[in-house]
Amino acid sequence: MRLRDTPEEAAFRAGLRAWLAEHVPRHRDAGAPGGWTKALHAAGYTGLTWPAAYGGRGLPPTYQGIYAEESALAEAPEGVNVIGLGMVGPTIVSHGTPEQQKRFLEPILSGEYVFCQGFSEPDAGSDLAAVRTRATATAGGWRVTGEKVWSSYAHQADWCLLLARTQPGSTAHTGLTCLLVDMRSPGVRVLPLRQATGDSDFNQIVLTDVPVPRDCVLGPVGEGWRIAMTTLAHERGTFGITLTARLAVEFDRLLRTVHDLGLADDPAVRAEVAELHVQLQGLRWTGHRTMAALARTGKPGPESSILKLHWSITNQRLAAFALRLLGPAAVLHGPDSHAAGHWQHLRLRSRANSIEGGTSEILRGIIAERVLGLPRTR
Amino acid sequence: MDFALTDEERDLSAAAARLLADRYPVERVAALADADGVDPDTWPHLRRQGWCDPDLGMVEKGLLAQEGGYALAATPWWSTVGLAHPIHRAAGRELTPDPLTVAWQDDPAGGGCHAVRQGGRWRLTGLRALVTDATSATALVVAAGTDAGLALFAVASPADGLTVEPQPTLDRLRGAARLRFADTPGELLVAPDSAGRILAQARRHAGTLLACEAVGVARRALELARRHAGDRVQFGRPIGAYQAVAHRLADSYVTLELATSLALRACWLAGADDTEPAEVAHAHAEAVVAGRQAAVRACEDALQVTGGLGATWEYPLHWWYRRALWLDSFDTPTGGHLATLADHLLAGRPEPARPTA
Repeated sequence: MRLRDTPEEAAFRAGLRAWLAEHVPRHRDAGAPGGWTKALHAAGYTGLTWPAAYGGRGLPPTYQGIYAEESALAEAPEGVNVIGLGMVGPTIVSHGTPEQQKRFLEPILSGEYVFCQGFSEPDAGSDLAAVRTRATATAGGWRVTGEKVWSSYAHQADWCLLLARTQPGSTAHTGLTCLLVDMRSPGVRVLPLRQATGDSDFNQIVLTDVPVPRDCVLGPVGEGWRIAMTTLAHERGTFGITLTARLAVEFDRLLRTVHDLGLADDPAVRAEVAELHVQLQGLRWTGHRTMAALARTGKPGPESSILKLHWSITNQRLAAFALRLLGPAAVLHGPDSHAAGHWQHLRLRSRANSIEGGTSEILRGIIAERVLGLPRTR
Repeated sequence: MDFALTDEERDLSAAAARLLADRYPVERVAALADADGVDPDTWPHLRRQGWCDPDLGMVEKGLLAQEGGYALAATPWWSTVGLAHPIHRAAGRELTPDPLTVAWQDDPAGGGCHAVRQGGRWRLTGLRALVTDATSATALVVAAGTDAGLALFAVASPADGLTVEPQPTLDRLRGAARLRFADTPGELLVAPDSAGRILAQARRHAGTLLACEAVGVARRALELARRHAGDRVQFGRPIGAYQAVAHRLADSYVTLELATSLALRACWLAGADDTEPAEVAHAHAEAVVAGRQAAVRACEDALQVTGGLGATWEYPLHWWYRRALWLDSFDTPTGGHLATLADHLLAGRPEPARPTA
């Protein structure tokens, strides 16, 4: 057990921190899509854990953890290609043909190809296996028709990793196939989804008779569920560390709000601040434990579900507490509101935290069944 | 960074768990609690397995404390190794495997303890209360006021002028005693100039181990509930197949895992040599708060899941719940730990977040 960086890790962290301090301000809220990914790539910070044979640096997962933590703490823009680098790329490394690896991996690393993910559908949310988007065999490959929702970056993406039903009449986990869809293909329409906050972080993708060549099938036809699960497992890899570090940034902002409002001596405020800090520390150090397990076994265990689950609870608790601190002024949401309405926005946005990326109900089910060994609840 | 147990640490933990599982089947825990809560027979086994080894690292001690909480081992190990050994070590004494305890708390009803020097010998008079494992201890460390301030004394047990009065307690497996001193002979261990500091260090050392013990208590309560949820059938299905039950236990598990991380971290920092005192102190407070929450919550969730069975005297869960309540109250209150953290967090304007690594 060692709760400090090794000299090599410390040097990597220090170098990254200095680089972020210099480059983050230039890229925040600006730049062309993919600009941040290109800057990261030029500095050698993409594909940290990818095998060297695929253009990565072949570093242990710990380094991806350091990258995730430092980027979030520096409030670096979330790279427009976060899905390509974090999820699709590793899936192509595991399941792609040599031709696909040659065609996609380097452009993903360099930011040339921005990826989105087409999994969820209006009738396939938590029950992802209920996917209805269908792909029909054609002479040259497949023709796809259907609708995908909650797709981040789809409006900026060049490619989409799509889960479609290729076997007519199949149900649930069988008969599904993963396809790499060129977003510029005829028949692809991207429409923004407007959230309760008023923002549009996600999109709807409507596919009408979209042609997909045969060489864009990822993994075997009919094995799409297994491939998609690989992709989602990669999502859980260091995501908990990113979320926890973002929570740490919000916590520091909360401390500033407490000072700004003159509440630093209020006993009830002090107790809740300390309680939130304990939860944050629990998440942070549990994240380090899951990283150590990942480094040993090569894949995140179902235990990593607890990070996302408890992060959402704590982020919601923090947002609710922060807004309450504002008192009657909490009703304002505009130029006159405290911190430019940050806490009003977070209060609204945080309610989706326990839905996105696996609802809390699904995560509790995973823990109950796969960690605690309880009988299936459905 | 590598936050995982080594193979040696895993082996130590597993061996301790095996020994305690052998010594403390559930029926025996209940039988001991129903009697006087003392089990002198296991102490030699612990000694042989190295539980009192002066070279044990803090992480290793934390793992033993976890297993102690899991098994609800009725031994004076925590009082000896957790509380008394740090003081003996600071006083330059050789650490022996004799059961010991430390008496420093005032009687809630009032009255402290003071020491005077007569003819070159110290004599103690007064009261100390809430003393753990006092009936097992063969020697005591006693905090007593002197003309120059609080000092720490070694007192044999039994001794002339010493009365040990067991007090009825919520947790019968970690009883309390009131000690009455009347001109009781004592030997100066730590002089007033450093006694306050040494006692505080010992309490923190012991408190970090209690955070680990709390993790063990939570783990056992969750285990009892988990097993019951898989076995108990209602409406034709095991109750663990109902989300209301399964999700409650999943939440219990989350709280347990967070507390485990913080308890292990507090141990590692307490044993590391490149730490800032503030970092160790805050890690301790975080571990204690999280450990108490995990233990109480896991027991209460388990009481709900085990239903009518869990509400009976015969079902043993309440003995772990009683320990959780003891842990939730012993020594510095949770509010005190939260205040320590708030003092640190709200002193001055915060810098942007940075990991300590």
